[in-house]
Amino acid sequence: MSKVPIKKILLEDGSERYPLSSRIFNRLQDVPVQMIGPEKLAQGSEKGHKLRMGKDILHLLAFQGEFLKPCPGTKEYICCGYQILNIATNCPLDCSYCILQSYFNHPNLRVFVNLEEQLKQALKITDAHPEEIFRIGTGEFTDSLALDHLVGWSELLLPEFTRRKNIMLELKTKTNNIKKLLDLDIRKRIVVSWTLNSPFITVNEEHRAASLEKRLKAARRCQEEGFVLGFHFDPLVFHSNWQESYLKTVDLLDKYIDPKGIIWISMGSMRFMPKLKEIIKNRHPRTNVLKGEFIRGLDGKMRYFKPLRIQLYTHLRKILEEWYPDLGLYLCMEADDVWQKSMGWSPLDSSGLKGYLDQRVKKKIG
Amino acid sequence: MNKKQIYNLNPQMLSLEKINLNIGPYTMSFDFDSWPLMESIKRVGLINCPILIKEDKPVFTIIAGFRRIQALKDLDITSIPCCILPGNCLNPLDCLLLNLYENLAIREFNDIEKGMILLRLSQFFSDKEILKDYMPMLGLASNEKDLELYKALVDILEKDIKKALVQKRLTLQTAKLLLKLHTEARQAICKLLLKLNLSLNNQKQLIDTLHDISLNEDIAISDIIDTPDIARIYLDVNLNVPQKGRAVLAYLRSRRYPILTKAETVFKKNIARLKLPKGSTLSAPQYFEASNFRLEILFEDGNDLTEKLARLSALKDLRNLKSPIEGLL
Repeated sequence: MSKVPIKKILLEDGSERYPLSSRIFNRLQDVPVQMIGPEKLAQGSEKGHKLRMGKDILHLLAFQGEFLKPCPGTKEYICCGYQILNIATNCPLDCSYCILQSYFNHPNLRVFVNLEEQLKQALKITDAHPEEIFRIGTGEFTDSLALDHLVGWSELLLPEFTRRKNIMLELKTKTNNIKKLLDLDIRKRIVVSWTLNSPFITVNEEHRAASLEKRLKAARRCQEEGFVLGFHFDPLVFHSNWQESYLKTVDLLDKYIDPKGIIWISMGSMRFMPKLKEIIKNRHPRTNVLKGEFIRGLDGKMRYFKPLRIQLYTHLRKILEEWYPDLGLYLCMEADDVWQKSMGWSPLDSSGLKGYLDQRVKKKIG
Repeated sequence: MNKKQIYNLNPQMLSLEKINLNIGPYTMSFDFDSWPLMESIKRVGLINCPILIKEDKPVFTIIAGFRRIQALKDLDITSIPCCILPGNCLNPLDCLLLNLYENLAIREFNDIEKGMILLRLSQFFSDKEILKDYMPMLGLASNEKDLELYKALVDILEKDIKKALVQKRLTLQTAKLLLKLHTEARQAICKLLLKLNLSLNNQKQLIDTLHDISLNEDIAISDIIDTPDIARIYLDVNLNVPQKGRAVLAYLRSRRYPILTKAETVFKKNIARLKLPKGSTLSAPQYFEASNFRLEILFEDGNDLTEKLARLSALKDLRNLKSPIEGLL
């Protein structure tokens, strides 16, 4: 990944008082800062800005909502019971299929500088339930590591999470921005995960992300340094020679990664809210991700017709299991019958899947 | 504007050759029927004289009365009475507003004319002023998207598509979808839509489906429309227009969703083979996405229901009923 240059910092009124803001200013001393009050926020962004999504503007603000909340899964499909730590929204990468393109009305790389203050509150929730395992991730509304060199999330989060026995923190990325992570001497209860795809999709759809090889080299480095790894094949996309193309990715996994150190590998197929289609077409006119037989799923999202999803998962499951049989494979937001037909078993419901993944945490992390 | 100068004008006879008969820059008429005006002029003569201005051009420019001049021309009248303003009397904005207010008082504008007005106003006013003052005047909501849409209708659409819109053979929603396409695709779709006379929803569905097929198969939309399969449907003398519309949509859907269509066909065949009792229907979940089927039985009373249930239970193939998606690929 080429580190995206930040051209401007927007600082919302009152956000300057947070220490995280000061630390970011120190790392970006040459970048102009613009204070913005409520009036400016209400005006919205200028024309054309939405298309660019402000991927070179760092917007520092205090987030007023809940920092820790369950992943917005769907009750119509089996979900994994993941918890999201909301540290930022938007991402400097520019994947054509990214759901964040439609999730947020506000562009810019929005970093929540009241994280330290709010983290204490969030951890009170997890501390109040020591019997429960919390699988927590920061990579749902942003890339967990893409801005780490500027914001320093690793040094802020890892010390807090590593000492809690009922928590596993997953940092999900498509970058090789691991320096800050490796500089810390903290490994316990931390999973570093990479989102992977076929070489074709990586090159053509995951703009500004690190190449597959760079991601896997970074993953190997993390593994050598003692981190437990996770991988996410999401979204799986049909394209010409997709079987061979996904096989190439698994071959690369084999080349760089010791499968025994993997806690889980998830698979999810391309899906999107209907309104995202127009946004994708406008922002990425040459994309391949909208090709195929998409139907409206039970949750209102567009997804491949069921037999096609089964075909994708079955193929990838087989080649992954041929590589190593105990990878903690699971499907993201899928139906019971799709599980049965593609995986040969089913957790039956969301609590079943949560139980399965919690067991993986116990097995690989303790 | 010096209003007195307009009140005090005496009409002068002017040869048509000396008038610029093209639309604009102050007039805003599109696709009108001059016949009622011709009839009126024939019966009672020209009641109000057109207003023209002498600008720095060899011919006079129409400020108001474009339709009247067209009607007189269609009546083969070559010399017409006009009120002529001196060149320095009104600036271009005043000329435009004079026409706008005169028309506003006597008629409604069609969508293309609204676009023409907004485009012309945008040469003199900011978007903010147009949104606040002029869009409500034209009966439009004051939002930027609509402003851009109406201007694009004039700027981008071809004349035949504009006409179809004005004549209500295409809806504004459909025109909006057509704006996003390339000229060739837009014209091909418009031609097809006009042949099929589809409802708004079906027009939208047709455009979406064509677009998806084009994307999936990497083929131009005009090439999909020119396929012999579609030509065969609309040349079929045994089908009326609504049937042709449905047939074209069905053809496109099967091409857009080949595997889903195959599953639906297999399911229909399987159900037909079951020979369900009369009044019983078995339906699949939409797109076979959910896992449950639905059985509906119409019955008159308990006896009737019991009989039908017994006949259903006796159907030997019923136990073999399963989702058609298995073994599809």
